Amino acid sequence: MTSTTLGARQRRVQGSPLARRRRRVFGPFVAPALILYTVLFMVPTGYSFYASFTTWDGFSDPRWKGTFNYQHLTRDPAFKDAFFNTLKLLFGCGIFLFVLSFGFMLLLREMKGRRFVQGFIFLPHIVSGVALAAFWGFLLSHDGMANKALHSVGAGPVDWLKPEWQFKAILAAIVWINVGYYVTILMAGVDRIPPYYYEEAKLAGTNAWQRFRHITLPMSWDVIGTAAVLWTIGTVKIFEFILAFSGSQGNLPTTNQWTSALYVYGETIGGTSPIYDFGRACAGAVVTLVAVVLVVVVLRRATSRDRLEL
Amino acid sequence: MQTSTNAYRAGLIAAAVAVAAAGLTACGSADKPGGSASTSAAGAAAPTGIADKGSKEFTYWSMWQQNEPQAKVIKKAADDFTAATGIKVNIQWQGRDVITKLTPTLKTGAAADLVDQSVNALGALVAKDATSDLSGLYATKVTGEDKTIGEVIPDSYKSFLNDKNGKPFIAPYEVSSEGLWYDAAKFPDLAANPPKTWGDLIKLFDDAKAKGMAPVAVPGDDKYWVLLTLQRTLGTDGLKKLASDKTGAAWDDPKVLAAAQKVQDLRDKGYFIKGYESSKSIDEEGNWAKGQAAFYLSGTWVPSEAAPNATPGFTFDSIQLPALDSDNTDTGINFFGFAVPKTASHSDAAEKFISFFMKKEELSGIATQAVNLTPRTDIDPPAQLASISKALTGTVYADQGHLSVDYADWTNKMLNPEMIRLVTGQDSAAKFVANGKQGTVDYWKSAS
Repeated sequence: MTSTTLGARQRRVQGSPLARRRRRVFGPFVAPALILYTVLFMVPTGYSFYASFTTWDGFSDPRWKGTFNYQHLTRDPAFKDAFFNTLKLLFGCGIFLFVLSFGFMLLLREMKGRRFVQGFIFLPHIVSGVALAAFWGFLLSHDGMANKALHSVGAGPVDWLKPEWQFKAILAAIVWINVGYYVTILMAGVDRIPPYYYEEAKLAGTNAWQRFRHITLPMSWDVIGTAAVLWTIGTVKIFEFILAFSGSQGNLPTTNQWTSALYVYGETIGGTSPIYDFGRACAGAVVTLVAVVLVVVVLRRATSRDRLEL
Repeated sequence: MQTSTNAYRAGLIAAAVAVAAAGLTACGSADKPGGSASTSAAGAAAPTGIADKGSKEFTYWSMWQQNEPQAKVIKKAADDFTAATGIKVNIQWQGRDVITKLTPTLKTGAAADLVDQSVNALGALVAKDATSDLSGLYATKVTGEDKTIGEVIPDSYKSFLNDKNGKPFIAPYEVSSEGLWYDAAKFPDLAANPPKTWGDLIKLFDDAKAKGMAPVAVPGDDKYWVLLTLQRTLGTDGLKKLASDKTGAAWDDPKVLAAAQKVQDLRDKGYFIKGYESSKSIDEEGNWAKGQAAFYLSGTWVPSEAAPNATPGFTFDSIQLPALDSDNTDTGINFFGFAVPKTASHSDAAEKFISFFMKKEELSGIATQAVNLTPRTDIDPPAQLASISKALTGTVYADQGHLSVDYADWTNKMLNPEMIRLVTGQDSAAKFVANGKQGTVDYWKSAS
């Protein structure tokens, strides 16, 4: 009995000769990536976590400060601005972006020349953020194209970029930049749905909304979930557009337009007189990282459904 | 993931510094003579004041981009220097963030033997005690001339060029300041009769209105109007107190409100050009140069920057803001110049180059080609900057009260946003004062 069990276990452990050989090369194949990943990513991330508990100018040795930096964050209006702006981007922009992307996607599916239109709205995504920021500035400045267009119909001018609207202009631009990308992802998901579902539903006398509600949405749910996670991760990366759009001549944008990425930059090497407070910046980065991880976990939970095999 | 990227980037610097610190501290201290030796040389008899290590080359990291006029002037000087001395100059045009790029290399032996930037930007190195004491260089004669470098730099500038120990850390080659710019072709009498009171200034703006121009071009993120009006009203020390007074009581001074009210009035009474709230300095500089507005408050870089947009016959000139409550008519000053990192291994060659560049023949290029001011009073300023140059012969104060360096965080997070809110009319003068006070109290509370 014992020997039989042992034998079975051994067979399970060793498996087929192919599996054995695979196991043997597993180490050498994984090692380079693992080492690189550890050295270039895990160690610095760990160090940032440590640095967030220190005062560190990026030059001298860090000095242990306990939770000082975190306490500071709770009182720092610039961090609050940065954090809430990131949330605005994540949820405010996000909801709008997904509704718009779905709208576009549904529209495009029925359209002739959809590849062309899809390429057209995808275009901003592949252009550098700095160039887009310059374009957005030309478009919305006082003498910009938008006001010239308004002028030609006898209206305006509108101060699109007045300070209280500036962050809203950024939000709108972020949606504009990203919508093509998410339309493409959602489209790929929806294209997998076999047409006969729709044909059958049509025969059953359903209307467009019912087909969307009962076929399109549930069958592309996993794609939506993945897209939402991508968006969440993407929002904390939004940086160069805001810097180029709102900053000028090496100056940082005002703090009410900061996001968490700009906060890290502003507290370290950003601006004409950098502050070099790496400890505080790391604390800000850690808080944002934790928040993003939480959102991703919640999103994964909320969007997890049994995968539909097509 | 940006947080991770940031974390990763910060960590990468950390790793670089840590590895470097562990492995190469010995190198760092071995390289120190660059700083300390030149100091002792100043006291010793060495005629040059530069501790000669016999370096045959050095590396210069520049704040300029290759196509900028300053870069061309420096490049020519470097070529002349090599021809004259045989010392090779390795130039890297790093751009404005040169100090940020240099910082991670400082501990282990700086990647550059010579850098340049503004006093403010170099302040980050000074704070880390990473710059060489240039006393020895200051005692050195300018190459081919009778006077020392210390003698060709006006004494009134010196206190702004020293570190906390009173030793010079920068050899300035360009001086900048601010003025209220105008087209002298349109206001020919203004240079002789500049406004002496705020009332005169307003009258001048009304004249401009009568001539069909918007009086003042101002960007939506302008800081000069509020800062300079505050400086004129409170004096430079009063301005600094707004930042340093942790109780915020400095903001209660009725003069602060009076200064803010003046800026609010400029806006309320329509002296600012239409649509400025959404513009940047580059837009407004262009609007002004095209004759859409009569005046523009900005720095010494305006004539060179705005020239391509200027209407034919445009004659650049500037006046200073009139005295206000404090009777202070000092002129703000900022410097761009060379510094030698303490851990530079070819500091001797770098200092020799500075001495070479400071000679009249080379330095004149900053005035003639780059259309900027030099610290040497025997180099004629470009005509466009003659008025500012004259103002700088009077009492000077560290540009913007040095707030952006001494209180960088407060300036970025508190003052700048509040000034923008006032200039663009989002806040009244009273609100500006209330927010300024509360913001300062909160700032110091969070910083403690």
